[in-house]
Amino acid sequence: MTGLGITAHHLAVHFKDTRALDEVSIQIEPGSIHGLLGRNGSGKTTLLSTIAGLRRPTSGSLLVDGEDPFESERIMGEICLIREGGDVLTDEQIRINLKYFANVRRYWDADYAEELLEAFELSPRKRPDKLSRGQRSALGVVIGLASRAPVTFFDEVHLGMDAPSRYRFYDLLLADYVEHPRTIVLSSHLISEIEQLFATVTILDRGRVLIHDDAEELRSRGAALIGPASAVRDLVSGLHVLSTQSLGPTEKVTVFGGLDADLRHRARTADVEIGPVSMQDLFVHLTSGEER
Amino acid sequence: MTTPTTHRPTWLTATKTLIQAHLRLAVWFWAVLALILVGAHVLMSGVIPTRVLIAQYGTHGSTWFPFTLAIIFVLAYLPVHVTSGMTRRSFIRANLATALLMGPAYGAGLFLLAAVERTVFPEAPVPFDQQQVFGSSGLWGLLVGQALLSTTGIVCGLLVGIAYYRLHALLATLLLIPTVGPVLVVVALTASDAPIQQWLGLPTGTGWAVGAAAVVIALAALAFHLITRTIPIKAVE
Repeated sequence: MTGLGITAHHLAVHFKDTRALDEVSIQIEPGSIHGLLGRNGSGKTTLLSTIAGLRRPTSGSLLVDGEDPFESERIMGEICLIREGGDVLTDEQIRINLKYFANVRRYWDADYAEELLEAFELSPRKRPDKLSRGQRSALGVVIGLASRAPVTFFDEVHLGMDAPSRYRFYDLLLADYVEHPRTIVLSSHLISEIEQLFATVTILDRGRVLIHDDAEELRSRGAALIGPASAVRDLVSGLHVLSTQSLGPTEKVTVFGGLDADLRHRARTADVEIGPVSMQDLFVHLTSGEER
Repeated sequence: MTTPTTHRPTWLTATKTLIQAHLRLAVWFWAVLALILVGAHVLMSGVIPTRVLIAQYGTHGSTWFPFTLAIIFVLAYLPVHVTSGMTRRSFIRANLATALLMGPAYGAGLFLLAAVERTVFPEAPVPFDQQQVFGSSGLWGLLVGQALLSTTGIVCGLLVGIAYYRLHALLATLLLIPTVGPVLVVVALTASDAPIQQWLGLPTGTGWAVGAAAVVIALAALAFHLITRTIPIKAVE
């Protein structure tokens, strides 16, 4: 078993006058790590909450492993949604919380949970309401990873953690994914640190799907040109420039859109390197006001 | 993927969690009630020159304390339950099972305190007999009446909690009349002077009152089920 697939078709969630999700159609392959990106308020949390059965969609269809997740005992039990701030028994010690999750989570690995507590330096005797924001996020990560649920969502859970803890999380996530492949969705608006983890990506903007694509395909929608400033400027004139970074005589310019063979040839002869575009740059470009 | 462990039905797991949480605090409640009882009789032995039975006054605490716990637990536990991969259906079932088990437990607790008190002071009278739960039926009446009252208290606590979770605070406050109302109805049904039965011209027997109270509890439970079965789980604050 390598996780469950998720299919949404014209999914909409409305709150009174707000369209939190509108016409969302995506497919997440079983066993993949998927990036759900979007600015604050773009609908990421609403989408994950709906898939996890926390709310009912207003319209459209949503299937997890071919079944509507809402109030499905089988499907809801296979999904683990970790939200920032955590859904834990706040006035019980961490060890009691882990015991609770061991009882309710079908694939819980108690030994691994202990290892993770040590990795994040969390005392099992501490209560979640006494933890700092970062420690609470780490507790969420412990629960999310040790649950080993076929579908695991981390909803911006790593944002509260400091840099060393975040990188520990990425390493642990990847190592555990390799050993126990499953469907993992990471949602974030901080992309640069995690973009290498994604196989596929969805970018949400104002509740709508802006991009739903393979990560490599997405990166090929732009390019970064690095080389002597004058040569780079010459090459990119007329192209859609996303960002420019100057490092003395060297300049790095990120452009949106494919590069033709002629431009690539000219770049080679001008000693300008062409690299992949960063997802962060693309994301900023695609979700910025001017693009919309 | 890790091999799944065998689990009992989720509602049973949730019931166990809720019962444990209720019991842990109920022990404190009964300990405090026993201390108050002892303290009052010590006073009656010296300072106040009278001796009456007072354990039955514990009916108020035994009704409203679990009511309060039910409000707290429904607010704190609902998001944890559903985000842990369990359905609202199992949450409803677990909470109602807890009410059906803990209600009689509170009845039994009060029954025990009253029984001990009556054994120690067999000559002492019961004051304000009219206020006693099923006063004319003696200790067994107290057990049954309190079980009904505490069960109703817990179910109404669930209703109040879920109303505050689902609705605007102002609306939930306005709805306190129907959400707390069932407790007041059962208080009246189990009162010795049977005011509701007399007012409606119904028989005043204990059996009738138990039946009517059971109907009230069932209706409150149904309301809790209807409000909770599709409730959206809010975002973390």
